[in-house]
Amino acid sequence: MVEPLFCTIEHLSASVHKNFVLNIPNLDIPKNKFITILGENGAGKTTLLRAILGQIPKLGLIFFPGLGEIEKISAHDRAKIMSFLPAHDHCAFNFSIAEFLELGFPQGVYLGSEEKKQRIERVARELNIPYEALHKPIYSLSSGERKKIFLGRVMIGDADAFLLDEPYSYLDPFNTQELIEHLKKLVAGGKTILCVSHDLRAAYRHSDYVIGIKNGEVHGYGTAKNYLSPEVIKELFGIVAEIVVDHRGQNLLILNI
Amino acid sequence: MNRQGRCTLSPGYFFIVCTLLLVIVIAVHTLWGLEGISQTEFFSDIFMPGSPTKHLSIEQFIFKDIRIPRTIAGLIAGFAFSIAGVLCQGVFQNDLASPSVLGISSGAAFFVILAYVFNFISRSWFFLPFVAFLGALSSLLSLSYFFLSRGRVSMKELLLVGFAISTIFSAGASLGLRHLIPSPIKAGEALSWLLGDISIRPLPMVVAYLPIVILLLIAAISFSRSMDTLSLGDDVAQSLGFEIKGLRIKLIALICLLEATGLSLAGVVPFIGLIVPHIARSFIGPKHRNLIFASGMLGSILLLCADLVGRTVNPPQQIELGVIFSFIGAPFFIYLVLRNRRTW
Repeated sequence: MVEPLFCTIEHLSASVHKNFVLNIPNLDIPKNKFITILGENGAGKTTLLRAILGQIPKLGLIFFPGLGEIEKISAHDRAKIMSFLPAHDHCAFNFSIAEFLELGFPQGVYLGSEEKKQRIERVARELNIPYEALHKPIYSLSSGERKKIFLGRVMIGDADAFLLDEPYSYLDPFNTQELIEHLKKLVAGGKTILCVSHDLRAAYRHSDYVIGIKNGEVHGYGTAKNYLSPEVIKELFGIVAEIVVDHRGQNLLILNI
Repeated sequence: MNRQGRCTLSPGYFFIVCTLLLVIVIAVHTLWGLEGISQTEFFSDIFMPGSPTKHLSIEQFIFKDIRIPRTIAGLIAGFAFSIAGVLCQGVFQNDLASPSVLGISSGAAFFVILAYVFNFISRSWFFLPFVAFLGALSSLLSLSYFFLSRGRVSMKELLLVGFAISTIFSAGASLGLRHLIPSPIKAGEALSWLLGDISIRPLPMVVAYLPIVILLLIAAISFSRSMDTLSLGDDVAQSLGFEIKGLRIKLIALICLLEATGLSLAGVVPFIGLIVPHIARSFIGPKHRNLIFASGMLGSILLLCADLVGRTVNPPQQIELGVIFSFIGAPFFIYLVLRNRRTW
């Protein structure tokens, strides 16, 4: 890859549990792209995200151009580069939606209250959270609505990259589609999206790059159309897939489940 | 206000109502049952002693030397306990946590009884806050030893380990109280401290705590933004640029200081740190910047009310604060546990 890089991973060996290690000899993650990380359960996708975030002990280097190795970057700067959505997000107290979104501003961001309010309203609009709902307590929301405010929390701080662990879970097809469109817009606006997902069809159709992870190692990576062939899907997940061309001439990934 | 919602009361109104209530409660607490307060000289004699020949009446002495220290002690203790409760719930990201539920009060109680056993506490009450602080710290540290490294803790684990710690320290305190304190007078003093009592505190000591509690309040409020973010969980708060470990340690130290303040003035008053933050949160929401101060005010009001009840139900006998709060607090705790069976 010759594009500008978001980060470079060298000789990485990271683990969250004693009996699992993620080993990556070398991996470049491009900047300003929509990248999907695919792999079966327990393959090490979340471990990769957490290693990039600098949240777990590791050997090896994760190097951010212009900033240096992740461990040398201050927590404050890390929050400016990337914003993280865990797979199971939660909140200990019953904030209102607006209050909750406000929590997403990273430390050291000093915006006026009017500016903050505008940002909150803008993000809510982008994620189809109705304005009237902003004062609603978050514990009254359904799982899907909850997912949207968690995504909003991630996006409110305006980081360079969004690391999303299963952003589409709990969302209905319409909201998934809207979210993907919004993520693509963000990429067009200069952001980097690095998302862990099990939605193969969306990964094939919408992401720029795909990274396949299997048994704690990188199986392969490349542009979605090049890398994500039926053979690769068979190797990654053990399922049968086909690529067909629809009447508009678009390639679609079909799963024969 | 429904089960999941909350009153939409603006913080401004809430604080006005609280201030009014507080003024009323203070007035009733200091003046209730005193005769002669309707005369205009009653206060001017006390506060502006113009003629040295004029002697104060017994009622005036009671007001000056007993009621005022008692009211201030209750005010500060209620304030400190409630803020400690808010911080506890924030640190453990759990609205069932509170100093008494987690065994922090018991730890302090055990240390104070130990101090009585070794005759460490003199009449000046000077050592009490230090001993209480060490006790609170020791039980909070033993609790943190289990949890700090593990990030989010399940409610069950937290409450059970807190319960176990509380039981150990309570057993130690009972042992000391029953068998080891040398003089019966000291034992009586220690027992009334264990049950929560603000009746015999000298005025200079009580007033000395005022600046301390104000400093602690400012410190607590300065952490409010970080504590809001902490409720998203450790990993997310970290990814937002917050330094979690240092924050936790500072907050734990602050909780111990607040507890020590409350304990020195009022003895052990269980459950106040659990109940008050809940009430405050249901009115003005969980954002800590308002919540901390609101809880402090509500705590003062509640503690003074409880003291008022305790001393007027069956005079001249007094019902201790700890007894009253246990009767209110334990059922409230059960209610919270049942209510908390939610999917979040």
